[in-house]
Order: sequence, then C-alpha cells, then structure tokens
Amino acid sequence: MTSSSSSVSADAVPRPDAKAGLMGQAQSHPLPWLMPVIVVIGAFYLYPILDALRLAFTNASLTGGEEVYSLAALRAVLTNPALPTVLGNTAIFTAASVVGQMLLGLGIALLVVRGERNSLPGMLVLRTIVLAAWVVPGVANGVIWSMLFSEAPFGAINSTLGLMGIAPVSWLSSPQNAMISVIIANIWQGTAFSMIVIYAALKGIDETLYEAAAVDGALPWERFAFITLPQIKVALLINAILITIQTLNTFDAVISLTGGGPGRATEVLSLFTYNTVFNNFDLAGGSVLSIVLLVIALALAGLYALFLPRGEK
Amino acid sequence: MTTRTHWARRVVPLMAATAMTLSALPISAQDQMVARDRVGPVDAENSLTFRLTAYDLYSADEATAEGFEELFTDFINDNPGWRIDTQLQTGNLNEEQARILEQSQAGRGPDCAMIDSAQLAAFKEASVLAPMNDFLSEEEIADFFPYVREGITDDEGNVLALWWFTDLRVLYRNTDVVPDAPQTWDETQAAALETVEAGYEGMLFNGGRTEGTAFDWLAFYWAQGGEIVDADGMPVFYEGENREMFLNALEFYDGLVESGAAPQRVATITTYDDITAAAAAGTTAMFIGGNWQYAQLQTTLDAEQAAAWEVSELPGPTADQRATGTGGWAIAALSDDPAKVEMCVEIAKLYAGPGNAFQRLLPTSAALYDEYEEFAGPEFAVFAEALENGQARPGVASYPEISAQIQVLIGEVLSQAKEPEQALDDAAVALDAAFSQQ
Amino acid sequence: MAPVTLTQISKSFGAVETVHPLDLEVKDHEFLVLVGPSGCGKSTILRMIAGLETVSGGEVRIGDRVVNTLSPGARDVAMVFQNYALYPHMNVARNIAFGLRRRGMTRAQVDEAVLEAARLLEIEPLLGRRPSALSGGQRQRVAMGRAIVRKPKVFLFDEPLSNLDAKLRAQMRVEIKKLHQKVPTTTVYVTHDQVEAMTMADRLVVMNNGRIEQVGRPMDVYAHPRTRFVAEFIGSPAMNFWDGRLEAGSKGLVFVAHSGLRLSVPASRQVAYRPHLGRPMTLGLRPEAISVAPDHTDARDTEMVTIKLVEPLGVETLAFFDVGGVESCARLDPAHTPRAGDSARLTFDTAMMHLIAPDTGEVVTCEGRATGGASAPRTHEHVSHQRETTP
Repeated sequence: MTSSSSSVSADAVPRPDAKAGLMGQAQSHPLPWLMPVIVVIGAFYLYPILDALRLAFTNASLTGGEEVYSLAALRAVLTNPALPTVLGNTAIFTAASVVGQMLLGLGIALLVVRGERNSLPGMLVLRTIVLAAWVVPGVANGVIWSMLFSEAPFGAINSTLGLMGIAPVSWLSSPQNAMISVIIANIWQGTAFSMIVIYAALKGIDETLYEAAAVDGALPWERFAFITLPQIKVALLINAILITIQTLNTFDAVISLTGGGPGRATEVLSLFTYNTVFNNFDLAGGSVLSIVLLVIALALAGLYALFLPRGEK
Repeated sequence: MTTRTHWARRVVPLMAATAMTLSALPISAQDQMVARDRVGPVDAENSLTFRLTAYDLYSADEATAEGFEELFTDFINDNPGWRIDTQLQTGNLNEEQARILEQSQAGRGPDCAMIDSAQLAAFKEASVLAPMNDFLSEEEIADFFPYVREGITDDEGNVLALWWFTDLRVLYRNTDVVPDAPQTWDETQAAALETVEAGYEGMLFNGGRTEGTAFDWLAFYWAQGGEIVDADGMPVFYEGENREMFLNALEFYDGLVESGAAPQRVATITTYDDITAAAAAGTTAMFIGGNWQYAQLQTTLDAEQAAAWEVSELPGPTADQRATGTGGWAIAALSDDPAKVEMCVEIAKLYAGPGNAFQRLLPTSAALYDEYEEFAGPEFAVFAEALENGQARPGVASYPEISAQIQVLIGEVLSQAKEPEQALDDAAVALDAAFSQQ
Repeated sequence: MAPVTLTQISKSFGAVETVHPLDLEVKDHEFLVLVGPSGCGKSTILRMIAGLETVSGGEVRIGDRVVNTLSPGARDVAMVFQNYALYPHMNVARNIAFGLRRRGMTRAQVDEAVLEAARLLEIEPLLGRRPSALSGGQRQRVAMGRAIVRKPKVFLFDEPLSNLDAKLRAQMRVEIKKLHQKVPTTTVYVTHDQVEAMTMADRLVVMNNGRIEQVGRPMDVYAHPRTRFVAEFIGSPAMNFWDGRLEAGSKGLVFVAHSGLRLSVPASRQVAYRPHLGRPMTLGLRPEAISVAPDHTDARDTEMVTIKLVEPLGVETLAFFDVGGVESCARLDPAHTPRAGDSARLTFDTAMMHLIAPDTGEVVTCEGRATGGASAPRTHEHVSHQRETTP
C-alpha cells in the first residue's frame, strides 16, 4: 500500500488564475467597480445614519427652533427613568421572540421536510398557511391579535374559553400577560421567515448523511443532534441575526396591540423611539435612541457572528 | 403587407380611444368640481393646497362625502377663479401632524391645513401659522368660547387658527339600568356596581396608551381646580395641592377597577370605538365617552335601545365640582399669501357653520348653536351646559410628553402594577428629568 | 462475519416492481459483486440488506437472524456510499469514531480502534482534517475506515469508486481487494462497471431489469454467459453478435450469417447444437477469438474484411470492421495489425463461439465442453426461478 502515501500528499487544490480577465481588472483597480454600490449605500444608508448620529448631539425638535449642538439629549435619554424598563422589555421581547420563532420555525420546517420526504399530502398548504401569517402587515397583525385577545365579553379567545367553562384571562390588561401576548403575536407572525430559512437549509442537507448515520446506529435524536443541527448551524445563526434585528425594530404590531401598555409593560425600544419622535416631537432624543438601537443590534449581530465558521468551507 | 395590417390593428383603436377621451374631457371637468385631489376647475387661475382629514369630504361614509361635495361645490361657485388642491391626511394623525409641522418649517407645507387642537401649541410655538385677524370680525372673535379663544390667540392677540368644532367628554348611561345620572364619583361607582350586579361588565373608559386616556381622565383633576403646568409651561401637577387633587382623581379610577365597578380591561381600551362597540353589543351600561358617540349610538342601535341611552355631565368629587376636557380641530393657514390666507379662513368658516350643522359637530361659538336648527336636540342642551365647565388642554409644547406620562401612570394604576402614589412619583421623576435639560 | 441470505426478496414502489422476487446467498467471507446497468435493481438490493429500504416481500437474513424489521443500526452492517457521505462538520477521526460512539464504547477503546483502522488504511496523518480538506481518494479511504472500524458482520459498498478518476479507481480497486484479504468480512459490492465486477468479485451477480441474469465466478460468467445480456454486458470491448442460421454442411453443422460469413461448428458442439438446425440463431464471438489469418490462406472460418478503424491500446490493438452491416471488433496482436482502410483476412476461432436463441436470448448450453469443467453449470444454481421459467 505504498501508493496510498502518494494520495495523501498529492492533494494540491488547484487555484484559478486570479489575475485573468475581468476578475484581474477588478482586483487591481477595485474602486470603479465598487463605486455604484458605494454611492447607493452612502446615499441611502450611511447618510441617514450619520445624520441621526449628528442629530443625537443637538437639541433638534420636530417643532423646529434653532439647532444647537449639546449633550443634553444624550444625557436626558440615558438618565430617563423609563429607559431601564424599556430596555428590559426589549430584552424580554426580543429574546423570547427570537427563541420562539427559531424553535417553532425549526419544528415546522422539520415537519414539512419530513412530510415531503414521506410524500404526505398537504405540505404545500401548510407552508402556504405559515407564509400567509408573514405576509400580513405588522399593524394588521396587531389588530388581528387584539381582537383575539380582547377582554371584552365578546373577545374571541376569552369567549371561547368561557364556552368551555374556563375563566377569562386578562391577556392584555395584566402587565405580565400583556408581554406574553405581544410575544405570541410576534412569534406567530415571524415564524414563517425562520421556517423558510431553516426549511431551505434542511433541504440542502445530503440525504445520504442520514443514511450513513442510520447505518452507524445513530438514534433519531442523535441524527438530529449530530447531523441536522451542525448542518444548519450557519443558517440558524444568520436567521438569528436577521430576526433579532427585525424584532428589535418591531413596533407596528406592538403599537396596534397594546400601544406599549398597560403602563409601560410592553413598551419596547423601537416603540419608545417612535413615541419620542412622533409624540414628544423630540428629534434629538429619538436620534439618541435610534443610535442606541443600532448599537444593540450591531452588538448582538457581532455576538452571533463570533459563532459563524470562518475561513473554512 | 402583414406588418402594416398589424400596425393598423393596434393603432386605430388607440386613436379612437384618444379621440373619445379628448372629447369627453371638458364635460367631465365641468361636471366634476370635486375630484380625489382637488375642488374646483383644473384650469382655475388661483389655487391653494389644503390638507384635510378623511372624515368629511373624503369620508368612507357615502352620505357624509356627498353632503360635503355639495357644500364644497357651492363654495367654489361662490369663489370663482379658485381651485383647492386637496391633500389627504392618513389615519395616523399624530404622525401626520408632525409631518405638516416639519414640512411647513422646510417651506414645503400646505397653504391651509386641519390641525388637532391639542397640537395647536406646537404649531404656534414653531411660528408657522399666519394670522387670520384681517378676515374675521371683532364679533366673530368675541363669540368663541373662552377656552377656544385662548387656544387660538397668541400673546399679541393674533388669531392663528380657526377652531371650527369642539368636543367634550360626558357620562353615558343606559337609563334602563341606571335611571338617574350619578353626580359624584361615589354615586358613579355605586351605580356602576349596580350595573355589574345586573350582569354588565361595568363602566368603561379609555385606559390604554392613547391621548384619550389622559384627556378623559384630566376632567376629574380639573374638576378639583388642578393645574397641569405653570405659567412657564413646566409641569406642576405633582407638587403641592395639585398632587393631592391628582391622587384623588387617580384613586377614583383605581377604586372603580379595584371595586369591580370597571373591568380591568379598561387598561387595554385605546379607542372610543372599542367603547361604542361594547355599548352597541349591550355589554356595558355606563361609559365615559365623547359627545360624538351619541350620534353613533343613535344610528347603530334600534330606536328603542337608542332612546335608553342618555348623557350627563361628568361626575365630580362633589356635585358642584365639574369639568370636562374639550378638544376638536382647527383650520390654520400656513401661507404668507394674504389671498390664500383669506381662502383658508373661508374654508374654515364653511366647516364651522354648514359643515358642523351637517355633521352635528359642536360649534365653538355660541351664536352658531342658535343659527342652525340641527342643534335643537336635548343632548345639545347637556353638551352646551357641560361646555360651561370646558377645559382645553394646556397650550404648551410640553403637553404631549406630559400626556404620555399620564397615560403611562394611569395604565400602571389600572393594571394594578403600581399604587397611585408610586406611579405619580415615577412620572414626576421622568418629567423632571425630561424638562431639566431645557 | 456472517453469510447473507435473501429469500424471495422483492421491492415495489406502488405498482412498479423494481426488484422481482429473487433468491441470493452471500457466503461467509465472500466478496460478492452485484453488477448491472443503472436501474437494474442492484442498489435497491444492497439498500434492502442495509435496511435503508423496506422489503416489499421475502426475507433478509444476516447470519441466523431475520433482519427485515431491524433498523440499519441494529443489523451490524457497514456501508460505503457512492458520495462517501462523510459527516462534513466532523474531522476524520470523529467520522470514523461516530459509529463506535453510538455503540457505547469508551473513549479509550474508540481512540484505539480509530487509530488501528487509520493505520490499516494509511490515513493517520489525516485524522485531524475535515472531509472538505481531503482529495477524492482520501475521502474514499476515510469512508472505508468508517466501515471497517466497526468490525461489522457485512460490508456493503454502493458504487464506491464511481466518483474517482480512472487511475485512482484502478488503484482503489486493488486496495479494496487487499483490504478484503486482510479483513475477510462478508462483502456485497454494487457497481455498474463490469471491469470492477470482474476484477474484484469472488462471485458476481449480473442483474438486469430487477432480475438476476446469472451468478458465478467471474471467469465462468465470462466464458459461459447464460444469456445474450450477460454475454454483451460482461467483457470489453463487447462480444460480437451476428444473426444467421445453422445449416448442415459437408463436415457437420455450419453457422451461416446473413452477410454470407460461414463458420463451422466445432466437433464438440455438434450434438448440443443439432436441435437448432435450420433455425434462425445468433452467433456470439468475443473480439479475442478473431485474429489475422496467415497470408493468402483460404482456410475454413476466414473472411476478407475491410478494416474501418484501428485503436492501438499498446498491449493489443482493436480493429473495427463490418460484417453484413454489423460493426464488429477484433482484438489483434499489435505486431500484425492492418491499417485502417486495408483489406485483411481474419480467422474466426469458433471453439469460443456462443450460440444464442434470439427469441429467448438464452445461450445454448453445451455440457462437458467447457474449460471450467463440471463447476460451470453449478454456478447457475442461484438463478431465480423466474429466470428459468422465462420463455
């Protein structure tokens, strides 16, 4: 078996010639190629962010008046006694929504993939139904759930519970329940996105890996833990980044379901920011808050990104 | 040959259609004085932009829209040479008002716009409103209710807007269940408890995160003589005597929920429509609502049920300590062109007189009640009487933030998350922090 | 290690039967190759043995145990897949260890077994690498390591070499055979490549359309194909087939092809072929049975042909020519090869002929003549009943 040693070493992966043709031009003079993207990103993404950053250090207000640079808005926002509550709400809302959407999305995706593999009927319908929830605008989502959660004697869920002899639940009027209700509504709407991302990742897994594992004697849960999870890890992380940012920015569903109440029980950072700008006309304060939101989103995205595999394929 | 036939087949119908459109155009332009984006002829020499809400000319309710189409058609016939370019405000009124303000400051605003009376202060402070004094008589100005006149006039005596209708909060009751109007808080709670015993869900009112929550409730604070802000516009409701009165009013609400006279779900009610729905469904026999809900109930319920609903002045801590929050909408000019300002005033008068009569909205000057027979109903007597104790929101730019804090603290109290005193103290800290920077 | 016995085993997908009921026994320590064109059912049989495919009918037995309802993991088999199916997120060591860990061995035992397998396959330096950093041949080796480390009763190979280039394939063929000599585990090997089948099998099973065509030792199957399909499938370049009929000549039976080519039937086969006298038959002759005739002879069983194409392969040269419109091939000594376009007289060695009944596709057997001796007919014993009753 001397020949095997040569196959161990004869392993040079061929590299395409990097300096050839258009690719070569793009690599030696990248700027003209990147210019269109830089301009678009600069005009539509970077400028608003920089302007928000600038406004955060002014006293700007929607009601006008002379703009003066100051740290007052920054100080006011950071010392606002409501901020810890709002950040706490945001943490709970985001964490629960992300975990819930990932788990539920994973569950449904596994169900659909399994169903399709066994060619069960109705899988397309199931996928479509879940997607339908995602297509519903956030405000409409809030309205739908506010009808379901309504505590009026004619509220959908409570009157159904009543028929079964179960006492009405204060879905929205109790601070703890209100947060749970808002999370449920958000998970209901957001799950489809996670499902689609995870579904695509699951479809990409080589079927023979499961066969190899089955022959290797792996139990179903072991196949999930040792094949499925590692194979969809990247998709899960990217999905986590996307839905975390999306959840951090969610306020339309909250505003139409609870308006942030009762009290501040469901007031999340994005809603707080919205209220600061459009209720209090405090543009500077709103800018500070949106920067805070941006920093939190970036920090979380960076945290997730640490777990992304790098350098290898 | 074939290509020519093809060409002909495609172009001939097109030309025919164009010819028909062209011949039809002048007719439709004359016929339709009111379009989706304008009132008046397309080719009028003068024009002004008018930003209005979707509750009258462009109402989803056909009868209302038709009525206003007629009013506007007459109006434009009386003002030849003018065209009003209409711009619709979307349902998110808070955002819309902020947008008008921002656009006006950038010089891109409308010439004339509907402005929420609660937002008037912000507009006044931003100095974007054009004085209307030249186009209003002394008598007309003097005839406004005092709180209205105060709201639309600046320190120099300039009238900066025409507050064309007002509204107020009253206590609604189903007289089948509650025959006599409760006059005090205690009577109200007792009456509400009786309705609960009769199988109703108790008294309803706005308690969620919405302006209505603060505004409805402020009546009970004002009834005791409480002040929200001082002369400089700084919040003072949590200091000295005000604090006591504030807590009294809070405890009135707290007591309603704690005693079961009101369901805890009031903490989730954010629109008057939610309340109307409950009244129409017959699940409540008492609620705090706006005067406009009276007409809604009359049209929603059948005559017999509708007749059972009556309104009375909001209760006070004692029978003779009363107040009610008054709101409504104003029309203001945001243009420097005197001709446009005049047109804007004329439009405002159209709304204030015949417009209000058509919609049964409450005019802001006493004279108009006598002028139109539409205001002859018995409910208007109650409204007019209650308006004597009318209180507008303080015309200061800090009001939205104060209102937001009051909404939060009422929510906290109603959801039993905080005791009234704790909730008030927290709001005080928040407001102190917010305003200390300014 | 254990024998594998398939009894009346079949597989259907809905109404379509892809494997018709068949019997097959893989003896202990045997290296059995299932060969046939794609879609012939060979992989399905392998997967039914592995438990990756349910059995529609019949019985699969490994050793003494009927395993029809056992999960793949419980059958104590190991499988090497066509695409290797290495776990991409695990390094080589963990890939090899995976099956052991699932079977509850301690870490130390696992490490030792992995090292032993790695040594055997000479992949020790690769243990820390991920599959993505390996070449095709290395992956192949790891896949085998994963199989042998478990010391299973049966090895199953599903076209394991088809993703490799020709040179590597030849090399790995040898290595798999060597490995089987060192670790003589019962092996079922599926391939569509008749060269692999011939070179590796102790016995090979030729399959077509969900049925077994023939079972036997490679050289027996090569020399004595039972059917035209086997005759055509096994051997490269493929056997030549000429249609014609058996006629009585002055010195016994003569096969007269439609082209006019006359080939005399050797004396040893006269009796066996006589019943087919006068019938339309097909004659099969392998390319190596054709050679260049000595100059200007006009002996029996020779024919002048025009060489159309010549493929020199070094050790031999393939010459293509036309017999009555049928492209035919001869395997010639490179030293005496005509050039393309030349006319040449070729000798046809009828001692190696096969006579095939065109209606059944069966080769006419001639007992006692075969070089394989008495064992030749016996290699047919595992052929399914269907095969024998097919008209």
